[in-house]
Amino acid sequence: MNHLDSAELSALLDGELDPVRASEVEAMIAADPSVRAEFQRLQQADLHLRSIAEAAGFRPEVRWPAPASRLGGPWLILPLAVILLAWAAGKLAPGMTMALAVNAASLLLFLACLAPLALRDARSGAPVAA
Amino acid sequence: MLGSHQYARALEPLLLQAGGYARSILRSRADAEDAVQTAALRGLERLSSYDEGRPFKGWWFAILRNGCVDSLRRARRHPTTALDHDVADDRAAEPAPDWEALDRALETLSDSHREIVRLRYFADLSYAEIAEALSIPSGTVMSRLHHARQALAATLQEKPG
Repeated sequence: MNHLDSAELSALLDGELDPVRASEVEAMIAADPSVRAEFQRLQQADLHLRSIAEAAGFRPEVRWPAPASRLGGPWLILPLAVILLAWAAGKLAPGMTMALAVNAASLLLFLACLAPLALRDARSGAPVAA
Repeated sequence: MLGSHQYARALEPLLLQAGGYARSILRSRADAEDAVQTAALRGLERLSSYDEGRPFKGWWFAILRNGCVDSLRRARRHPTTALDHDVADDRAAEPAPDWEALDRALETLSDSHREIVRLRYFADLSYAEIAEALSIPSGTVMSRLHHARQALAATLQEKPG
């Protein structure tokens, strides 16, 4: 049986010894009255601190920041306006070329606006919603 | 890297101990609530600095501890009567913790020993987690905690009850 470092009595109280060493220390406590007395003194101190700590415990609520909207809110206003304009141009102008050109431009703009949003989500992961 | 969802989930089971730990330093439930809230958001901001190979609990309680210490320093620079006692315990059914008993128990200890006692008992950290929070070896945690218990045991024998 190995020599006992008295700090191991504290480690036993804290469940920090590996099972083999814990059994050895428990055997020393059982066999030696002076070690047992020391262990009991430490147990008393442990209980005293535990009772104070338990009375102090409480569970605070954590308020997380609101998750960012996946649709990006203001970012969508401009492309939607362009799409609406393209639709209106197609209806009003007899020539289809103009309407198609406006539609193509609006699609490009729409994608250009969505790209930064997609990149931002990919970099930061999903927002916290606890 | 830990995602923000995972971070919130990992923090959830620590909140009870976080409340008690912050309160043991600040001695005010309201201030402890603020400190935990601030530490939760600060941890979220610093997620990129968290190494997943190390204990999350120790990493996060280090953030909370630093926040509490800063808060205490600010309070000492601008003292108010409210910080003299745990006056924010306005929930009548809940008695305030016996801070005098804690102070008596720890009065003979150095600040570093007191800190380890708070992290062990109020935050419920393991030796490895305390070592992570304070950037000291686990063996030092064990010896300081043992010394603190021995000192408390002697105090309890001198002043029983």
